[in-house]
Amino acid sequence: MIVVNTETVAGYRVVEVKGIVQGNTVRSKNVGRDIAAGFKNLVGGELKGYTELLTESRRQAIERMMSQAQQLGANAVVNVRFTTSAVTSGAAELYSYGTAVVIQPLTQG
Amino acid sequence: MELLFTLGITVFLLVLGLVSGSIAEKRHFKRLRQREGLNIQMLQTQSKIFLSPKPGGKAPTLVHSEMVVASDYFKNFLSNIRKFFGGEMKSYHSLMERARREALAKIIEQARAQGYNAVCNVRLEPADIAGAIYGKKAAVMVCIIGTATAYETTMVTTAQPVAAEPVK
Repeated sequence: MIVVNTETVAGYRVVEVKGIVQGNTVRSKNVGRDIAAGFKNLVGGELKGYTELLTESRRQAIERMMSQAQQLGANAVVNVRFTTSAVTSGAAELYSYGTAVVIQPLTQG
Repeated sequence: MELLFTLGITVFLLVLGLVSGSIAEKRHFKRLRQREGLNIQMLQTQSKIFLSPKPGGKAPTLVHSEMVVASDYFKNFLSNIRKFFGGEMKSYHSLMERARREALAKIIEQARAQGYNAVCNVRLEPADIAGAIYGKKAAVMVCIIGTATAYETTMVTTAQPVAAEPVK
């Protein structure tokens, strides 16, 4: 399945629009990570735990969105957007949404 | 005696924050410069249109990156003073810059690792990790999420590879 954040897909033509598909997830890391982040805030630097948290959440949200698109019979999702929101301390909600479409490769000439 | 103890801890944390924070920042900027020197040859655009895509090339795909950078104790202290008088908070400026540049560099590296030679529609947005930014603990951190579409292009970038600058 092709997932892009542009409106079109290079080399393909959109033949059918299936509608909006979405996927969301709320994840948190363990307490240890939160405490480690607190210490890291004294010395500065990258918070690897939270970076991982965001990456995992993003993958999961995309997967859920893709499975929804598959159920609709689409073979691509275009114009994908992400938003995050604050639910509770130390957790991240990631929401991804896009338009499920059916695309066809452009024939040459 | 107790006052002296509290003062001692504060001074210790300030020095710790200043030393380790500035070392971490210098190292990060050095790494970024090296990586960006390599990355400059990739076609990077913010346009939503695929600029001269390679006919019959690989199907485009989504690439994404995340970056969370924490502030240090010294910077927090400085910015609290700055808040009193108002004005530009330079200590947080570099924090934002680091997070953004890192997120962008990661996107491009990811695209290259998958065999693409261009990215378009690059978006860098701040993210909220609940309680991290607006929490009571006042932990200052910058979360940036980057999104882009990787594709193959026939366009050649004319940018010269930038040599990594020596660190001061």
